[in-house]
Amino acid sequence: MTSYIIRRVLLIIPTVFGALSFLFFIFFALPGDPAELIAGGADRNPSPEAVAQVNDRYGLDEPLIEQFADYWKRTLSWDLGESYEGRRSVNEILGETAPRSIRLGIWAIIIEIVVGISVGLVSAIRRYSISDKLTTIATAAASAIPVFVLGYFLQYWFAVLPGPNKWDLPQWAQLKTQGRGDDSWLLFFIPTGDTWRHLVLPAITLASVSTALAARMMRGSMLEVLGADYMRTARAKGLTERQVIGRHGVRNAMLPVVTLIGIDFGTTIGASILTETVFSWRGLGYTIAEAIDARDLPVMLGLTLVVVLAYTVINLIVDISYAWFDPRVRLGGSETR
Amino acid sequence: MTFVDQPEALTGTPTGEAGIADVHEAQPLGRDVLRRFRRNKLAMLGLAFIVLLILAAIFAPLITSYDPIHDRARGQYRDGPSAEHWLGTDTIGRDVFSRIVYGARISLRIGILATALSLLIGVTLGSIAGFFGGIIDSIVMRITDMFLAIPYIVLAIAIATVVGRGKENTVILVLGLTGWLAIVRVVRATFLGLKELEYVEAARALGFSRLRIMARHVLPNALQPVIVYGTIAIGGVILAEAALSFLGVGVFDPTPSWGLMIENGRRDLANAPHMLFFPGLAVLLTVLAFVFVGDGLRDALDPKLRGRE
Amino acid sequence: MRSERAWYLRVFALVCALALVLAACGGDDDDDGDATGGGDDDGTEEPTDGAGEGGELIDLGTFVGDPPEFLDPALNSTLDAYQVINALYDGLTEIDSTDPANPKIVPLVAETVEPNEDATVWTFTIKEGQTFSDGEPILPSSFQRAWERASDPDFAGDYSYLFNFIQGGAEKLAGEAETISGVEVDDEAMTLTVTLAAPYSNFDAVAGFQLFFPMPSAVDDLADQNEWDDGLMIGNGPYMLEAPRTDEEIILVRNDRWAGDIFGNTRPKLDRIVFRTSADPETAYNAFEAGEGDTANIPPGRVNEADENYATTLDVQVSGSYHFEIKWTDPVVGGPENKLLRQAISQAIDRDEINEAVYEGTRTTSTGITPPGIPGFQEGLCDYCAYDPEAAQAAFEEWQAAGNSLSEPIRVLFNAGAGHEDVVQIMIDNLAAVGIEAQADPRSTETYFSELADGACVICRSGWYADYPTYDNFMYDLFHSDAIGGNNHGEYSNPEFDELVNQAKQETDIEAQAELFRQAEDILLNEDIAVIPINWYLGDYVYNPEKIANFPQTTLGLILWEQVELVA
Repeated sequence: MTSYIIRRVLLIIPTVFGALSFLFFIFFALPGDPAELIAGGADRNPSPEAVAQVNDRYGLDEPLIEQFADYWKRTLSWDLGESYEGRRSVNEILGETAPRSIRLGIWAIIIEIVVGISVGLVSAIRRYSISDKLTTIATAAASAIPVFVLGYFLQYWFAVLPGPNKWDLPQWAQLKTQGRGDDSWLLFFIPTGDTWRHLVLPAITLASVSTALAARMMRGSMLEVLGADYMRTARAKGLTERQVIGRHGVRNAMLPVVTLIGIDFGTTIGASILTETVFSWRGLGYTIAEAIDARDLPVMLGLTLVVVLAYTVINLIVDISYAWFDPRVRLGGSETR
Repeated sequence: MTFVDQPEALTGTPTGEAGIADVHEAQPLGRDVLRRFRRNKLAMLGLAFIVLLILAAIFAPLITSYDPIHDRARGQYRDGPSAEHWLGTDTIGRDVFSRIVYGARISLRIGILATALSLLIGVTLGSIAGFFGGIIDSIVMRITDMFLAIPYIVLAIAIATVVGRGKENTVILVLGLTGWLAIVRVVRATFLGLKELEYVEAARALGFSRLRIMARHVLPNALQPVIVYGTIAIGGVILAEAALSFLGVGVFDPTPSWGLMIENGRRDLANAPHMLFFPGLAVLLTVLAFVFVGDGLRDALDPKLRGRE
Repeated sequence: MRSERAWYLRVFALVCALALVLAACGGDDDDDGDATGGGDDDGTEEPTDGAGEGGELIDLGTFVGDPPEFLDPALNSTLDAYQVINALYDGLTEIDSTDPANPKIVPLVAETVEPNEDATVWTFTIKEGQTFSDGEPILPSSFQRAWERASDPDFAGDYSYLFNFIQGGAEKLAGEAETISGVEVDDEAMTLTVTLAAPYSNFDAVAGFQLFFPMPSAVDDLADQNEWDDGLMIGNGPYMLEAPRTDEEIILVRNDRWAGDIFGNTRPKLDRIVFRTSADPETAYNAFEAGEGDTANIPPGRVNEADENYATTLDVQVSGSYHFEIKWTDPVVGGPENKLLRQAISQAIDRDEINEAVYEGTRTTSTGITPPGIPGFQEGLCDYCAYDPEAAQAAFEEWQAAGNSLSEPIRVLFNAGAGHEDVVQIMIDNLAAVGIEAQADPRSTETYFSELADGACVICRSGWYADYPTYDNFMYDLFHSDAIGGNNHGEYSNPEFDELVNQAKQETDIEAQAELFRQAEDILLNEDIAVIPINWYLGDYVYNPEKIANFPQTTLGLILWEQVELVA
């Protein structure tokens, strides 16, 4: 077991290194001279002096390999550099944007767990009933609607229509389309004050696809479990269906779903670009997308690094805990990875 | 994009211990598969829809009366459905129905080609990894992990920008190059799982070469979840194309891709909802159809998953 | 089991029906917000004395898409940032657009503005007793300081070419001189004397542009001038920054030390203005409709909707031109030998259809480049801007008969995702109708103008908002040979045109000057057909009339924030 853990931890290093290096070189393959783009901004063309200034400041005219080495040297000492736009420290930007994405992600996962698992469970138990068919269609539909369209619809129905310009519902019924309100949080992730109204719609939007998938996964795995031999044994022993399901079924069925959710957490933070853009929720995803557009290399790489790290570490934890539960691995079985 | 990362969720093949699939040995007979598939009403519905869609795409000029790009109705901008324009007109007077039908060509083309590309890369890499094991396996898995760790969108935007935004081939390339990640794991898992099975051992004992065993016994088995995943993935690709259009890295106007029509249509949601609604409905139904067919395939190929009968 | 099934079905059907109903009737309520077009938009205000004062306004319409790159007037080149900068600073002169067709240049921070006979030397006397928001007195040296700062070759921004107008400015920009020799200040007599490099009768308009705003001595203490923008900039305008700006918000509060505007108002109405950045126009408009903001930009395609439900600034004729530049040096399209082809292109385009389809008929189809609102403007200067497919076809055939041909489709460049796709598509269809093959060549918005600067234009989408209401802002800044490498993306060059523009700039008689500029534009449009005008811009803000009583937008597109007033 320990050797497994050690090996898995060590394997993170090439993964992270490879991912970031790949992005680094892509940046320089992008069309347009980076120094010119940075110096000129979006609209006009910069003077040669301005371009030279940028080259000077960021060393963009040095040979690629040198820049690459420089970059890794700085990153390893956790100096993620300065944003090309506005010269803010990337560490600072990270400190601001990461908590926002994490909070949104936490709530999306909560929704996914609560709604996804219960819906999947119920539809597995009532297999082939109308509610099962409806759920199948509903979950399929939920994962088939483009996320940004769903977000837009939700905004319209729950924020614009109840708002002061249309139906003018009481304050608590009006949800918000943009930003984070007071941005006040209890225990890091519980919204207080005005903030919850800004949180609801983006969280639901972000959770939509993964909740649907979790529900289907739960249903599939629950069905598999229900038909398994040991369940037949339990029934033969005389336990009621409810006991059978509760004691053996659910726990076993949940394993793959838990894996899914664990991995989801890692991907949610990075994959929230679409949701964050629609709701102007300035988290990691939003900022990374902006940075790519603006060719802001330090921000793009720095934030992506964190996302990559988060993803790999969470994956690692999930894999290790999974392996822990599987005696074949825990007791040092065959080489599996 | 969990669609891409978790094929297990879609195919319903739970992966047991980290990476190894629980594969069942008994192979259903072809006729049984078809019979089971036919009994699944949703799957048959989905299949019917897909066939209809393909026919519509092929015979588009016959069923539409307007050119999707050049025919404009002067003065009839953003009009709702009417007798002349069944699904209404768009911002500069083009017929929405025609654009959706021609758009089917594009969406289907992108969906099928991108998925084919993903499957090709994924199956190849997955079988190599699963077959050879050891170092090669590690390398393949590292590369996969590396790409998986990068947020999908970042990867998509980066590749699109390098290759050149706006062209259909770019979109196919982007989606193909990012979609193989999921399938590698599934294929590899199947290979690894099957390597341990008794009858493989028996075949080896009888002297068959490993390669032959893999090709004759393992690969067909591995293809099962691949087929299921591939079918569902076509739907995922069509959705992803819409997302790429939203971010500005999909195809450009005036190509009538559904994703682009949705992106343009959402701007007029309040005053001309038909411009978003109909292409959105087209995407929804198409994705559903592929999902139902994929589900049906999975249920038909693996009877044990259907539980008590 | 049967009743259960029916129950579920009924609920499902009900939900679907509800959803469809909601989606359908979302757009047509007009029983809220009465659209009486809000307040005045041309700045006619008698001095008020505190009536209707106070309140906060949240603006979602200025920064739609990106936060501003620069708020520093020495560096900024965009109109959105200028909205805020204009509230933070006051310049030597101000534009009075009470009569939109005849804007006047009025002294603001300056007491008087006096050119000499041939407009080579301009003397500004600065009003006594004015201060920056931190109390520092505004002196002629405040201006000199700012101008030296903005012309520093290591710091210079996109508009620094304006310093070429001043004697010694070109040398300063090239790094050959320490200071601009043509600027003399006398803080005792409160005079600022500017000697120009060449006679220029519109210098008073230019002197009020953001590049020439004054700066307090705090900038002298900065190690890096770029830091000014990041911190708490100090200015002399009606508002001041409450805190350094963030990517999400810029917050302004009333400046109690403001000296007042050209109408005698001495106190801005609003207490506080919050400028929020949105991801794109649609989400901003959604948020505006949801009540999360008081103003927004009108997204394309929702003009009539906005006009019906709220108040807008659509009746302001903004002095800006939307046009397509042509590469003068292109072997197929450019140069005098291909004039017939360009004529065919220009006459084939149905500009009214573009206006109807893309802008819901709200813009004004161009009859020239220079828009109304510019002194000297004359309607109908362009001979080839009217839709005439027969003439277009004839011209094209004549061009072909002379031995020319199109070996490949003409490329029409534009920046993608900014609403130009439909315009270009209509153009291409129009051209195809007379036999000219063209194709769309969309480019990424971030790199578009850089690519144009590198010479990528064949036929390329372009646009220009007037920086100040003068004819030369269009003729000189866009089409003079000096502007090649700058805003002259087509690299148009005609010595006769240049000569007329140079002469006009020096002419002090207003009528004569206007006549010279019109002659230049005639060459540009009719002799050379070097550009394809499409339409002229309009005001583009929408605001909530139940909250805002007055929201004036000038013909330069600037909002007079000091006059914005909430409903009592």
